[in-house]
Amino acid sequence: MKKIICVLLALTALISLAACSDGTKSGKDVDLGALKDKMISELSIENANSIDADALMGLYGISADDIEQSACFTTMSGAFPDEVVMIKTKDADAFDIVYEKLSARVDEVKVQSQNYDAENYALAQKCEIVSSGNYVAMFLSPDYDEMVKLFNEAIGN
Amino acid sequence: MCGVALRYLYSMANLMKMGNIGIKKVNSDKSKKTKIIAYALPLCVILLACLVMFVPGFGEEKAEISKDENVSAKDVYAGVDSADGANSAPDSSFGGSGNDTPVTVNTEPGLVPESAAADKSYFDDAAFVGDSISLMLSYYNASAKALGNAQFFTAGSLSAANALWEVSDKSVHPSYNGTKMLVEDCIKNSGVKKVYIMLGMNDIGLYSLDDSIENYKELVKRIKEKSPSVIIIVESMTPIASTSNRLGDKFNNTRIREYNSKLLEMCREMGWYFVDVGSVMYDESGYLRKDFCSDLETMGMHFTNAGCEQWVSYLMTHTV
Repeated sequence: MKKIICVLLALTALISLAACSDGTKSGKDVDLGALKDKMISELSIENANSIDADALMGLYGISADDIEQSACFTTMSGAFPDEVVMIKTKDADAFDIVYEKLSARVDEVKVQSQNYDAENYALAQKCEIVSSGNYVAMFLSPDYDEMVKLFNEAIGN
Repeated sequence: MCGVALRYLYSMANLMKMGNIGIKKVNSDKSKKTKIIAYALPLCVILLACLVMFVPGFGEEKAEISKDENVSAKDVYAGVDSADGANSAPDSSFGGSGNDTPVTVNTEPGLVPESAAADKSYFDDAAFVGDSISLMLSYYNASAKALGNAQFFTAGSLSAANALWEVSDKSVHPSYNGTKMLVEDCIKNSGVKKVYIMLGMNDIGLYSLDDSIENYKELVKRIKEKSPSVIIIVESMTPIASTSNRLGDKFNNTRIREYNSKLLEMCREMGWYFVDVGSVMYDESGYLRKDFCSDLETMGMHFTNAGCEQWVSYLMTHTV
């Protein structure tokens, strides 16, 4: 009898541990849309054009199927538009794909602006993809430092 | 003509009377039918001939009156040279000034005249190839969706020259769904039916205008080799602002207009279409309108939302 109870308890423990693992990275819940609005307001960003998740395939090769929520915008200023992309991916596999696509975009901006636009080249060189849990972001903007700070504060990084 | 017809009728009548036209009275119904045909057919021919001769305009092909008829490509971009490259306001009669009366869509190669505004779905099977100028349009469209589901294969500093180079980590090429590849491969993979091309900003300052045209032709040749049925629509270069830090001897609005003239000639020679997008971007002094320019204090050539709206408006009213 005792043996049976022990086996049952062990099985219960195993099942509980399995349920806890759902393939996602850890991370608190953040309303990226609200964060975007806060960013635009606090940094006095003008003429921000919001971009929906379904437009990200054409721009970056990021599928909407990999996205749980997103908040993205560009600004029609300068030679290269400011590009702000904030995404919460659906799972860890999607995170890897999105991270790789955004990194590729930063690399391309470096290549395209190197002999063309010194200011944008400097921005691209400085830009690093920011992430925590399933949240990942790219801030190609002169307001890079402030945007990263706001993002990290929001996701608890 | 009528005299000949009347003589023919008389001859027919005589022949019928004499019974020498070979109609045999084997079967009365068949004979009657044959007679009707024998009388009716020449009558129809005569009637048609009289209509052609005497009714004005009957049977004549409607002449396609093109706005650029008898106007050479150079006339389109005539201007007065000045030291800084500006000139008086260019001839806007071929542009979407908004005051022109819409005309019948011209499907002849060359300059595309104004037409009734198309629905944005017209661009669902279109792609736009270009440099950073068109990159701004791609971001504008990603938000506004003013050009429907048009696809964009653009890259900052892309030119007709470097578009011909091999793809590498350090090369400048557009991407298709996030993967960098040759322009012609982007188009082939996308399956689009219409390709708009705007290149030149990164060509004319480095190469001669004629060499730039040759590179352009080679690029389109490669596109057509992989996508034979795509329609090629060349967009004119857009002007640069008076405050641009790029203005110089080899890079100014006079040279841009000269290049646009050569692009139009190229389209007529090669059977492609030409949309004069640049014509609606000038201010009264011959520079890019300040309200259309997003980088007045630097390159002075990229577009604001307002500039992109004007661009889209022109495209929608100049379809092929």
